[in-house]
Amino acid sequence: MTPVTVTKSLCGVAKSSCERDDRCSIVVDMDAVAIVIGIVMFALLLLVLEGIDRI
Amino acid sequence: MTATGWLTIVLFAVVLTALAFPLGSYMAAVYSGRGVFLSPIFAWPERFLYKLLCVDPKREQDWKAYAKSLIVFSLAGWLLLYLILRTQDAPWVPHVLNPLGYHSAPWNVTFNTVSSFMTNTNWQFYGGETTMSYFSQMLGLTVQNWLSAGIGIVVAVALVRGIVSRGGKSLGNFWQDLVRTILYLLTPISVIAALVLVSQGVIANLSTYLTVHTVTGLTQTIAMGPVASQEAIKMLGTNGGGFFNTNSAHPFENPTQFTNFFEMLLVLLIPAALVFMYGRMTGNRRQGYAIYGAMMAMFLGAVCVAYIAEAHGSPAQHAAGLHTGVIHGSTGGNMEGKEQRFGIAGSALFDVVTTVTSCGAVNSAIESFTGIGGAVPFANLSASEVIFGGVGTGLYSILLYVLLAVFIGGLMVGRTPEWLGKKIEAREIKLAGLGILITPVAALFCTALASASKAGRASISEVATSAQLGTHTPQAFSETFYAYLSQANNNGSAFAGYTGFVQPNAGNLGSHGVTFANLLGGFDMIFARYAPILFALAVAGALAGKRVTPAGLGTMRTDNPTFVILLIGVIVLVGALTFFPALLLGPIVQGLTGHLY
Repeated sequence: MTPVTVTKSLCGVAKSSCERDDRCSIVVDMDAVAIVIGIVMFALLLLVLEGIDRI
Repeated sequence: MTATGWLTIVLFAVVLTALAFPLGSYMAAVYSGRGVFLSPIFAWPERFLYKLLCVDPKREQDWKAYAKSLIVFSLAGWLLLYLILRTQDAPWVPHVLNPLGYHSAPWNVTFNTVSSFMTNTNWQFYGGETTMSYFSQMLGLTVQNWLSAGIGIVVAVALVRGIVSRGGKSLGNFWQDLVRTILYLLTPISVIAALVLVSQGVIANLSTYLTVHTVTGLTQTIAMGPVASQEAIKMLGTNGGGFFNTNSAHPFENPTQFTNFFEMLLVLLIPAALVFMYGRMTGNRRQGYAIYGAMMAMFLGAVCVAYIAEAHGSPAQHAAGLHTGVIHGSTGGNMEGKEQRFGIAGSALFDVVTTVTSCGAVNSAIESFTGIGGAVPFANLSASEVIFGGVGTGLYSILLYVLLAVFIGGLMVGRTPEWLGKKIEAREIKLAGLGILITPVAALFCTALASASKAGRASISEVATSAQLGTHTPQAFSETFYAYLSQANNNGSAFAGYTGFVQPNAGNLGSHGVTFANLLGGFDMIFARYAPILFALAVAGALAGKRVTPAGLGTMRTDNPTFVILLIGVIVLVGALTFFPALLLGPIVQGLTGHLY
């Protein structure tokens, strides 16, 4: 059997930062842009719905 | 080819039909409001959910109210999922749900991912085990796997109600249909399926990843996670988004030949059962059998082509003089990009099952298929989800084609087109025609935009480019075309290579997304998902108000083999006319030249 060791996390292996205090800011400007785009897309669908009703 | 391979394919078709038939009857009872054997268990949770949602399930909705409820619910889900994915490393997330401390993926990748899971597409620019926390996978993506599947099913149910309605405007109640779909249909099957998968070795834990030392002295990280529960709904809901990057090729998602067979059954179970449900609810079972026959004929045709092509081996193998026939202990054929435990038949069948539907899960590398074998998923996607299709999507899409076939057939015999006793008029044909054309238009428009722009070509993989032609090679076009075709069809499988996410390290630190590919893909998925839904509901509304007239001697029958052939012809013709020029520029030109791109 191959010996298996369990590590607490992948931080070292993947060179990923796992430090909680090194976290990026949760909401950045582009999040607001993405959310607005999302809302606009669904608003457009409601307009399409009204347009279909006139066919 | 082997006898076992053919037997697997035949057995699959037989078992699928045997399971789908009773499930269709059960679903007809659920959506007709009749009691079923699970009613004693789910009646209380059902009432509780109505109170929680503040809805009156007895309030009937016309098509516009039904559609508005659907859009508003989807928008709320879109916003919630975006919030979950962008806060996966927030302080309030318990450590056990993000044991590796993964940051969120960039905003643009999140935009694409949210649009993808909302629309049942599950296109993934990211790799699950290096990008998503357990929090995001469980509370975000898996929940949407349920809800997006539910939305597809209720649209199909609403369309069937419109067809069977004897005057009036009601299509039922969106909220009631959604709640009943989740409680009475998706929950019981998913729970059983997850337990079956666990029994076969699919993992289900919240452990941190393992680091093991291999026999060659290297270290290897093995990803863990709550896989089984997501795997069950991923297949049952024809979602297809892998917990791991390699999707159903990963042994923790799909460990054995049995799970491979079982997962394929899960994918087609509800789409097939919906057709039988349609037959029962319309009171014309032969109509359901006719549509099922058309779907099964096209499905088996695709499977045969893919299996024969892959078993024959690739041109490169033949050019190298390699033996591609069956020898003891090997299935032969083109095994590049395929798992030994599934072989040629298990891979070809899985590929067809997941590309005729909106599933898009993969257990082999589609880009490693032979030219003809690789053309099969292209053709399946070009059929716009009518060969069983996604849960719900398949039924309402093929019913739009049925409408078109009835219209064409009516013109051919010189009679006013009639369908189940309802006269088909100009408005229904306009709506059905537009509903059918939306998906191809979205796919082709996005492909053209991405191919013609520098920003779009930035996503093309390096291996698809050449020194002479740069990013203007057939392979580069195929990658691009497949990406937007797959997203428009809400399928989610990939021809590999087309990139929207650059991730130097696991955990998203230092990663960035390709904004053009992510946003265009997001538009593609949302528009091509919801616009046809709106047209399908509008058709339902138009049909609901029509009175039924008895069939006369000259009425064209829509439940016999002649109509099945006409229906298949219409589907093939529309798909071919729409996509043939684009297919010429990519896979066909590759198949006709000796160049290696």
